[in-house]
Amino acid sequence: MLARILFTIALVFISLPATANEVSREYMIKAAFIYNFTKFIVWPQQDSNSNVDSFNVCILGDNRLSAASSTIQGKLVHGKILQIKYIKNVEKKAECEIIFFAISNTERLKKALESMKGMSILSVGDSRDFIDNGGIIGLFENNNKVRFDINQLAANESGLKINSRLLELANRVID
Amino acid sequence: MHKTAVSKSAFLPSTERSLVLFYSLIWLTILTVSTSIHAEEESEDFTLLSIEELLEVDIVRNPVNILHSHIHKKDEWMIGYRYMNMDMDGNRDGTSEVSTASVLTDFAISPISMRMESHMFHLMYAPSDDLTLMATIPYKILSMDHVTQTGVTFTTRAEGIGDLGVMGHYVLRRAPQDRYLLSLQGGISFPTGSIDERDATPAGPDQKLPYPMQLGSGTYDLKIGANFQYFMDQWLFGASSMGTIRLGENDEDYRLGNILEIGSWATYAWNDWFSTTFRLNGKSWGNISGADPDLDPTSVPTADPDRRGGTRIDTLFGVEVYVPGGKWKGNSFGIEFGVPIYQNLEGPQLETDWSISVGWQWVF
Repeated sequence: MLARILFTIALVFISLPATANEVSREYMIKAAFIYNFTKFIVWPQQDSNSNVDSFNVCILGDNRLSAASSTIQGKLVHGKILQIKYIKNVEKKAECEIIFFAISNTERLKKALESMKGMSILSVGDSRDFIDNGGIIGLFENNNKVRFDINQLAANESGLKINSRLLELANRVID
Repeated sequence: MHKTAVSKSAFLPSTERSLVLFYSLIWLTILTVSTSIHAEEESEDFTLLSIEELLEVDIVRNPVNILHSHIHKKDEWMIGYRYMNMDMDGNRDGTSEVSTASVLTDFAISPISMRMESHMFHLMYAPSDDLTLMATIPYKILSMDHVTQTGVTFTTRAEGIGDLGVMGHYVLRRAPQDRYLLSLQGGISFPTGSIDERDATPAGPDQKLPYPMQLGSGTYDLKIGANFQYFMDQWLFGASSMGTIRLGENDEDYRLGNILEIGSWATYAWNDWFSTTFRLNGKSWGNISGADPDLDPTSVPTADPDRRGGTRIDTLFGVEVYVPGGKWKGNSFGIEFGVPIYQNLEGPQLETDWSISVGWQWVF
């Protein structure tokens, strides 16, 4: 009896990972999507908010993407090193090529997106109505997989050119 | 022979309920403490995948051997096969082992060991995200070794299909992004397995075999249960309960005991193709009501309807390999090994030593 209980305890620790953290698999996949989007989007040349040394992906709001975003930090994007920045409000938007909106409050989200109109910044969020509120790419989960919608109108207003292949792969496109 | 004071028709007597709850709490405590330890992990690199490949990556998956946790997405089909082998060796009465010599003081024949092999085939279809239909049928191969009071040893064998099970699995409640799922299960087991298996024994050729050597229950059985699953990052936690209620008596004038199973599990997905699972499973079953008139309950304990009930708690460990993409996408393979940590049997009855199962499934 004692041997079986000890065997049980041993099985518990064998079945558990030797190391563990709380990085969400879902957000690791979303971070990879954000990195891949940069391969299908062209930013305007010599834009006033273009950064010389780095390609900045900014996270606005809560930190649900923060741990996963380390997987894309340091990647090469359009000849620049991808850097992750955390911003508390859209006042800092000029530093960013991409802003990931981790904001659940719809009014706050709308105001932030409104303030970015005309700026060459790719806005990405993870709610299904993100593009309906003016965002450019909305990530969401469907049938245990990550999908995305694209608001091409908002992209055009921002001066961003989206490759037709990315538009084909989108679940929904507003144009 | 002393009989343990386990209620004849116990679905789950109070002592066994306490033990099941006790071991479940120990396991949950160990798991909670262990998961509070954090360290750096080598993450799977999804950035190496193209967008087309990322669109095919599953966020979470189900383990192979937790058959009853399967909840599929609309229009998904699943076919699967599972081989199970259970080894039983030595007798037990209550929680104490009993020698063969001791059994032979009360019976002319004592069982020594038994091997139960099962080839189970299952088919699932989800007409909606909230409902999965399932059909299962086993092919069983049973053998039991015996010894008589005069020292003669013999083996009996039975082989054939078991009872067909048809179940529905309905999601009662789910959180956004399926962070948790609460579901109900219900179904019927049809008496397609034989209850008239025969083999040669020292008493003569073509003898009716005792209860554990029969392939089915002989009755329509109602199955009802509930499931809860919680997803957290790479973890999947779950708990399930399943009751089997026998409806009426079979053609041999008896009814097998009702069954209650309670289980819990924790699965960790190391990456998108490999996961490990730890399970704790408790099972309690009642004695037989009525008796087969072709069996002599005084000759061998396996023929005594009042010595068939019991309670057992098993711990099981499994690994699963899943094909995430390419031509073989949707296939998964799993292996699981288990040992009992507690057995209380209406004896003398053969005790379980270990079990192993190997499974394959294809979701498309």
